[in-house]
Amino acid sequence: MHTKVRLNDFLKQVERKAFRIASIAVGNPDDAMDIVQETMLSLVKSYANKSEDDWPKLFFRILYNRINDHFRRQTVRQKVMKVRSWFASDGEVEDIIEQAPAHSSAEPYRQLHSDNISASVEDSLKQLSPKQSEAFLMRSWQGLSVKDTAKVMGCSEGSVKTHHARAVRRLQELLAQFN
Amino acid sequence: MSNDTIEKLNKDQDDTAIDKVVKVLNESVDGLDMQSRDRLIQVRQQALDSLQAPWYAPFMLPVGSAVIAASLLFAIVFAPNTDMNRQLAPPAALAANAVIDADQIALLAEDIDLLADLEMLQWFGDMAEIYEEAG
Repeated sequence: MHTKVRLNDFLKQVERKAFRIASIAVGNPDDAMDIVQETMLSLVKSYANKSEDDWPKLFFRILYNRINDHFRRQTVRQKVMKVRSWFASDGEVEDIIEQAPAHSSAEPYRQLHSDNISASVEDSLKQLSPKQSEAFLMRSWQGLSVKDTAKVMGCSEGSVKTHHARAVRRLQELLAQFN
Repeated sequence: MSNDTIEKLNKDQDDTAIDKVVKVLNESVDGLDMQSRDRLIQVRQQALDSLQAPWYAPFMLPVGSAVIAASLLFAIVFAPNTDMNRQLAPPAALAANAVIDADQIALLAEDIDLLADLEMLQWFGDMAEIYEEAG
């Protein structure tokens, strides 16, 4: 019971940041929510008995794995669509995704964050490579140490420092352009 | 400008960029819409509800019930007295009954010894008569 209370406190603390990270990465609030849900479930089911100090590392590791899975699934889906389009009967390209109705909740979400600075920062973060973005968000926003960030990213501490430094430089350039 | 000065300026610029981005991100988190907040609370609750109980939890109720039933059955079948109150008596009373029974058994054993002694005397008497008759 005590673990449940501590887990609740931890998840409460990180859930919004996790949702924003996932939203920035996948660009769709519904997909981001699914990713956060899967991450929480995975943490609770598999790692609830781990030390409380390990939870942030594990949580963000799972989160980024889920984000990568999302992109992998998208890539596979796109390939399947491409193959389907080749077998289209009358030679016309039949793109199911293109024919699908526009996402209903994407536009209000964008409107909500239509503030110029916010939008420019979000766009800047999207233009970073996934590793740079991950290093920046974990180090500078989440406040993880280089060592913990390396564990989350599954790379060396030197790589974390390099990705983070490049991310900061790139953000400076991009924000200067937006300004 | 010296290298140190350039490095410090670069670091200041880096810090400024970081602060700016972090501030915007924090604001975006604080300004999250109510729908997303509610959904996050639901998601968190669902995750916490899935927290697994210990592996032996499903067996606790049936095993506990079986132990209690077996204890009751034992008390009823092996109780020294057929009186229902005695059968369901607490362990101390049962132990007291057991002591009484042991005493009774001891007395019975003494009786048996006495009988045995009498039988032995009878047997010796019989034997003596036989020897006498045989001369």
